[in-house]
Amino acid sequence: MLAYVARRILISIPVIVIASVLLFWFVSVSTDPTARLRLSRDPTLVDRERERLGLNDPLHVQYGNWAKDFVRGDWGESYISRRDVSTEIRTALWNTTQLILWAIFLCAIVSIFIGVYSAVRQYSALDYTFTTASFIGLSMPPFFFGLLAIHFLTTELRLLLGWDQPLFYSVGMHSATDKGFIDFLRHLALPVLTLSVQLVAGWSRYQRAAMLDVMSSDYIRTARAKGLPRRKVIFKHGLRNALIPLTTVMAIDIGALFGGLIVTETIFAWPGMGRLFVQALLQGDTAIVLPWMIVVAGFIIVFNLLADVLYGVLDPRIRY
Amino acid sequence: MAPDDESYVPVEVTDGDVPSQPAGAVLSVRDLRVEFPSEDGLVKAVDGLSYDVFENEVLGIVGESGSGKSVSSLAVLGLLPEKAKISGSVVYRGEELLQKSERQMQALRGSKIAMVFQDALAALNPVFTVGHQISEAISTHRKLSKRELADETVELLDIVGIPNPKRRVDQYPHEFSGGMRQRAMIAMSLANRPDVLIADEPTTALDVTIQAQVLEVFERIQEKTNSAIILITHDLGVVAGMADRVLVMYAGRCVEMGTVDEIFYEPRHPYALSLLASLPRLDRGGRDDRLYRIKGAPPSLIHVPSGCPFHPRCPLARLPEPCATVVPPLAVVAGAEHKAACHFSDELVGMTVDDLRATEVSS
Amino acid sequence: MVFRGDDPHSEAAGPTIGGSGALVELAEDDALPGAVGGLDSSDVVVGEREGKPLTQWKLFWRRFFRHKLAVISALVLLLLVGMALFAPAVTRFEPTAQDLRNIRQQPDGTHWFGTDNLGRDQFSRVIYAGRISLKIGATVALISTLIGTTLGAIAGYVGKWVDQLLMRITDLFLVMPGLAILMVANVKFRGQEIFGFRVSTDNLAILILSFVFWMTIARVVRGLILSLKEKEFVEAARASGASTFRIITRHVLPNCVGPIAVNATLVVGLAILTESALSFLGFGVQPPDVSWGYLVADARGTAGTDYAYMIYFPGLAILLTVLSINFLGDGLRDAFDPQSHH
Repeated sequence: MLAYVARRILISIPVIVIASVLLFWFVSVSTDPTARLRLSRDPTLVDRERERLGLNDPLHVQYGNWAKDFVRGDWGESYISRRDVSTEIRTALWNTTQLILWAIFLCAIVSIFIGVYSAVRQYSALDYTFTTASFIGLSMPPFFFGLLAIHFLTTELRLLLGWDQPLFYSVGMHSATDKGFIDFLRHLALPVLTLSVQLVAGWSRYQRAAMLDVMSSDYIRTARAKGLPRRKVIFKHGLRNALIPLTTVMAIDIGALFGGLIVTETIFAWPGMGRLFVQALLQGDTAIVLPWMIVVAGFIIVFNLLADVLYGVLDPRIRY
Repeated sequence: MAPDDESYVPVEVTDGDVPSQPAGAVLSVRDLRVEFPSEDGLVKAVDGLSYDVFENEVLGIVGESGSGKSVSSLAVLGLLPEKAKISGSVVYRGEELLQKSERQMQALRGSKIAMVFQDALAALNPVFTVGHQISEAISTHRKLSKRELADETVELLDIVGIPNPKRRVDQYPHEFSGGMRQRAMIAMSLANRPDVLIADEPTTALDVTIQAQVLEVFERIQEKTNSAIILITHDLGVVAGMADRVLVMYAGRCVEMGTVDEIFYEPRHPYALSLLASLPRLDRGGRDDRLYRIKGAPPSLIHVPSGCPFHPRCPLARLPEPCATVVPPLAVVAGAEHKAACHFSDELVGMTVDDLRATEVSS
Repeated sequence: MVFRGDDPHSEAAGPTIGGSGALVELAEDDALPGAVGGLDSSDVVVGEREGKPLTQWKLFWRRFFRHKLAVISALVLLLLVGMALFAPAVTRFEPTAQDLRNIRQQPDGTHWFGTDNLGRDQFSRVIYAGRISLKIGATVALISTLIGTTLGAIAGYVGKWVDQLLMRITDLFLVMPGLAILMVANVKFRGQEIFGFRVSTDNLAILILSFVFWMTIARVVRGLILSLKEKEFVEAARASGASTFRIITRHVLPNCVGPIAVNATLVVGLAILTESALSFLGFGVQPPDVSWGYLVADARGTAGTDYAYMIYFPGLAILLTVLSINFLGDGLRDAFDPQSHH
C-alpha cells in the first residue's frame, strides 16, 4: 500500500515540474510586466525595469532564477498593492477554501442521497425529476444562476419579508460592522448555493450511474441469495462499491475548484482566488498571474494524487 | 393454460391452494412460467417447467444458454427482477414459495435453500474479505457470538477443502485462485446447512482439472448433509459424473427427463440424442470423422417456433405435421420416470449416435 | 464556472460500442455447438428481430425517436439555429439601433424582450448575439473533434511510445487551470494581429477555446481504437485479406461514429458555457461583437431591480440552448448504444 502511494507521489513530481515550465513559458510570452510603465514619460524606465526583472535573460535562465525564488517562498511583490504575492495568495486561498469546504460538505451528502434514491427507484417520478433538475443544473451558466439568486434571494426576499437588510447577502464575506458567524453564514449562503447547483447536478448523476452499475452486479445477486434484507444489500454491499468511483471523481473535481470559482467569486465579490485573478488581470498586476497558476495547478495535481490514493484505500484490488 | 406435461397429475388443491408433493420430495416445481417484457416483445424464458427434487439426490438440469435453466432457479428463490411475470407453483416442503412475501423469502434464502453462482470472482463482493462474507451468511440467519462465528467460518472453509483456512478468512476474493474462490462460494452457501442447494454452472469458469476437485466438494457435502442438489450446467460431462437424474431443457421447457443412465444410454428425444452425438469422441472414426453439429441456432424466446420448439433443427422432424403444428406433451416413454416430449420418441429406441449421424449425411 | 477540460460527468464512456454495429454484418447463421459438451455459452437470446433484419440506421432512428425529450430538443435547436441564421427575417429592429425615447421598456407587444438602457430592442440583441454564441459553440466543437479524433486515432492505432507521449500531453493539458489560461490568452491577443489578420473577439474566442476540449474526445477515440484493434472481427477481416484502409473504413470507423458524435454534441454545450463565462467576465467576446454572455454582463447591474428582464432573456437563451444540447446528446448516446444506463 505504501509502495503504491509512494509510486503515485513520485509520478506527480515531474508533472508539477513540467507544468511549471509550461506555465512559466506561457506567462512570459503572454504578459508584459512592464506594460504599465510604457505610458510613463521616461523612455528608459521600461528598459531599466526589464533589466531589474531580468527579462532580457534567455528564458531558461529566467526560469531557473524564478524557480529558485519560488521554491524558497519568495514569490515577488504585487505591482499594485506592493504586498507580498504569497500573502495575497494565501489570504485569497483561505477564503476560497472556506467556500469550498462548506459547499462540498453539503453537496456530498445530498448527491449521494439523490444518487442512491434515483438508482433504487429508477424510472420513478422523483427519479425523472432529479434527472431533469440535474440536466438543468449542468446546463445553467453559473453566472446566470448567481444573478438570479441575487435578484430573488437577496432583493426580492427582502422586499417580501419587509426587512431593512436582506436575509442573504450577496457581496463579500462579511458585513462592514458585524463580523460574527451568523453574518458570515448569511454571506456564505448564496455563493455556496450557486456552487452547489453545479456540483450536485454532476455528482448525483454520477452516483446514480455508479449505483445502477453496481446494483446489477453478480455480488448483489449473491447478497440477496444469502437472504440479506434489502436495506443491507443496497447500503452495505451496493453503496460501498458505488462510492469508489464517486469519491475519486469528487476528489478530482474539488482539486479543480481552487482555481475554478472565478465566475462565482466575481459575482458575489468573494475575496478568494478567483476574484484575485480577475483583479490582477484587469489591473495588469502580472506578478500574481504565474504564482497563482502554479498554486492552482498544484492543487489539481495534489487532489488527483489524492483521488488515486483514495481509490487504493477503498478498493482492495488496487493495492498491489 | 393447460400444462403441456400430461404425466403430472393436475394441481391438487389441498391445504389452501398448495399442491401436494410426492413423498420424499423437497422441492416441487409445477408448470413454472417466467416471462419478461422487452423492447421486441414478450420473452418466454421458462414455458411450463415441472420437476421434483428429492433428498440426497443430485438433479442435473442441462440446456443451452437461453434454455431457461438459470432463470427457473432464480424464480425458485424469488431473485428475478420485478418486471418478470411468474406463474405456476414452487413448493418447498409443503409451502408455496411463489406466494411468499419478500421478508419470508429472505428467511429461506441462504438458510433452507441456497444457491451457488457461476463466476465466483464476480459473485463475491470485492471489497469485503471472504471470511466476512461467509460470516455474514451465517449471522443473517443465526445469532452467534463473535467467537462462534469466527470458528464456524473457518470450519466451513475447511469443509470445502481450502488449506490454511485461518489465514484465508482475512483475504479478499481476488487473492484466491479460481477453484478456491468457487469453494469459498460453496462454503458460503453451506453456512446454514441448506435443504436444497442450487448450483448454477459452478464449474463453467474453471479449468477442467479444477472442475473435478470442485465437483468432489459437492459430493462430500452431500454425504454429510443429505441435501438435495440441483446442478445446472451445459456440460454433459459434468452431468455424467455427478447427477442421479437429468432434466434436459430446450426453449424454456423440459424435453426429456430420466435417470442419468436412461438419458445417456437410451435418450428418447432428438435433442438429447443430438447433444450426445456432438460430443467429440477420441475413440471413434478416422481422420475423416467430422464433428456432428446441430444445425440451426437456438430459438428466439419471443417468437418460439410453433409446435415442437426443436422442429427447425431436428434431424427427425416430420414437417409440417405434426412436428411444426402440435406441441408434443412430456409423456412417459419407459419405466416410471423416464419422460420425453417428442411425437416420435418411440422411433428413437435403440437409435445410436451413429444412426443419427447417418441421417445427417443423407439429408 | 468550474472549468474542467475533461468533464468526468460527461459519461462519454470509452469503449462502449453500439451493440449491433458492424458485428451484425459478420454474424454467422449457423451456431456451432461448442466442441466440449455439445453446447455453446452465449448469453440469453433476447430482443431479436424476426423476418427482415433491420439495418443499423433504422435501429438507430427507432431508438432515437423513442426519446421524446431528445426529439423535442432537436427541434428546439433547429428553431434556435434557424432564428440565428435568419436573424434579419425574424427581428423587427436592428440590434444596434438606439431609441432613446424608449429606454428600459418592460417586455411588451412591440419589444418582446423589452429594451435596454439605450433603447435597443432586446429581442434582436439576443437573436444576433445567438449568432455569435452558436457559431462559436459549433466551430469549437468541430475543431476540437477534428483535433481530438486525429490525435486519439493516431495514439490508438500506432500505439507504443506515440501513444504514451500523446497521453502524457493530454494529462498535462488537463492539469492546467483552463479558464485562467483562456483569460490571459484573450488579454494578450486582443486587438492583435495573427498572421497579419485582425482577429475579431469572437474568432479569437474560437481560436483559444479550441485548445481546451479536444482531450476528452482524444481519450475516447484512443480507447475505442485500442479495444477495436483487439476485436476478433478486425482479425477476421485482416485474415480474409482486407487492406488496412478497408478495415478502417468499413469496420473501425462505423463503430466510432457513435461516441464521437455524442462527445461532439456535448462539447458544443460546454463551449457555449465557457465562452459565455469568459464574455461575462470580460475576457471573451466584446463589442462590437456581442454574445449572450456579454449581454448578461452588460445587464449585471439590473439584478434586484425591475429591469432584471435584461438578465433573464440572454441567460435563458444560454440555458435553453445548452439544455437542449445535453438532452440531445443523451438521446444520441442511448440511440447509439442502448446498453448504457438510463
